[in-house]
Amino acid sequence: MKIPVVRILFVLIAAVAALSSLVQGTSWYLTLIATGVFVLAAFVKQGDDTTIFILASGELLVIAVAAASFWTGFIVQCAVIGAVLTGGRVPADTRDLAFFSFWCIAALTGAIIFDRSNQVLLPFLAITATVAATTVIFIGVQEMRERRMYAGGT
Amino acid sequence: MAAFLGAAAIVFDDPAFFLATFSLVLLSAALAIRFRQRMHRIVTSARITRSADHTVIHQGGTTAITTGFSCSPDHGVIIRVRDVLPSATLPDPANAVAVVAADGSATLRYSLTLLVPGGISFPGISLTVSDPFYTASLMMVSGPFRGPELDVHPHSAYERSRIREDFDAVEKDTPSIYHGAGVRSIREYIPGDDLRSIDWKMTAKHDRMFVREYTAMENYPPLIVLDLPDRSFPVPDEHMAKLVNAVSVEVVAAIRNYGSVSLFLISGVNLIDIIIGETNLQRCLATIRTFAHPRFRLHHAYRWKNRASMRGFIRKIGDAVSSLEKSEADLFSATIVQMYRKSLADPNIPVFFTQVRRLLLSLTTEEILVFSLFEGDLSHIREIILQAQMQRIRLKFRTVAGKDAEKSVSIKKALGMDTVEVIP
Repeated sequence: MKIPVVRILFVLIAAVAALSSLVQGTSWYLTLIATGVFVLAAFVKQGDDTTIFILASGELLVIAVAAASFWTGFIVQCAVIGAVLTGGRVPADTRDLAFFSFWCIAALTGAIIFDRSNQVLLPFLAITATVAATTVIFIGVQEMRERRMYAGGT
Repeated sequence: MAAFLGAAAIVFDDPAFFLATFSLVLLSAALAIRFRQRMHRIVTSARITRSADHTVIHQGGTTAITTGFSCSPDHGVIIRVRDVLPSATLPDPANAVAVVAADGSATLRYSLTLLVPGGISFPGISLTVSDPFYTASLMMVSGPFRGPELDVHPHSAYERSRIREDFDAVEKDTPSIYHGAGVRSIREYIPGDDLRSIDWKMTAKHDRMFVREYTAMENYPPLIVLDLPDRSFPVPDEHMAKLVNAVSVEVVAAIRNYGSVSLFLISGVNLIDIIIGETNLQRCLATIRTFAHPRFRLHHAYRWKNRASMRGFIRKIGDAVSSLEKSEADLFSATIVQMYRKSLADPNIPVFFTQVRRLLLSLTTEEILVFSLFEGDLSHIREIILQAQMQRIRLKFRTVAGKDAEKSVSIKKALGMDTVEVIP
């Protein structure tokens, strides 16, 4: 089993950030367990594609850490997504690097809004709806253009 | 996962859950946009080259199609390409799909049987792109992905009526370079005679040109009939291989013993190829290799009536029925006779009957070797037997092992065969 160096780096960042939040949280053992599960998911082979396992265990870790420290949770979230997305291609594939950077900026914007808001639910719903609608419109328009160009407009 | 976390976030109203959910939603959206961009790059860089080994073919014929595809794929993307087929065509294999390699190229090879006549063009390709998160398909039918156009000529099951006028005529215009050593006669030179046959001694003696007429050389190479099975029925590869191998061995033996061989490749009543008097072994073997596999049968003879047997029935029953009292059995026979008379009055004669008759009239052969699996309708074999009996040609049947004894007996009985040799 060959694990990409970039993935190892992201997993280490997530693990260190999680461990650093231990002192701030009340349920430190949950964070510790979530960190262990995440590291195992990232390094233990579970078939050809480990993405879904890394993502699932990573989100548990994010929730555990963010409960103690919101901004540490954001850093862990970035590291988890980095470990999922890159798969060893960054920095070789500049497109993926740009894509990851774009995601980080968008996630940071969302995190700032959540952090500064008096209550989280309404901004969350508004941002999520905006992101979903923008994505659907962008993809729909591009797909329609492609179909018009290549599939006779159907 | 995002939906589950979203529900949990709303229930617990916890920023940690909101952060995780929003991150996942954002990830899904970003991945969808990335996938669409990758798809766009692939689609805009896609190029194809498509070729057919024959662009003019007859209805029911098969042509080999080769489609080359190239594009600029991204890492981690799987691209599958398949041709969008014209209507009324049968591809083999049924779902030919090519997976694009890492360098962006793929080649799709399949054979296509065309069932309707006219100009037939390939509409385009279907592209399926997938990455670990998303899958999308696009039918690419614009100009660069279409073509080539195939010209399919109609192939009727029945003869046109005007052809019947010279139904039995056989035109033979093949000069023979083979002759014997014996001199049959000597005659005066006629312009156009071969100069090599001039008898110079007689010419000098009489001061006029004389030529020798040599005795003819003749041998009787066998006609090998290979009846290919219908593609609709499953045929074990082993049986097919044995059949083809046996035909090849017989072709080799015929060329070695007689100097030439004639091949008649059919699938039911559908003619696949004819080779007459071929002396080139390699050409024969190449033809067998190319065509000898289960074929789609455009025409079937299940409902074709045998004209000879109909005439025989009318001769046997027709007069007797008219003179007898009208019992129930007689009425049945009378109805049959009436139907047979109507059928005989029908000018349509199956093309296959004409093809077999013409072939046997044009050939000088004493033996026909029929290789078949004897599966399904055997009307075509019956017709070959009938025509061979009329031409007084000996018939031998060969099939592969595997049929149960009872079935073999029933086939022999149905076709009136004495023996069927089994290829070991």
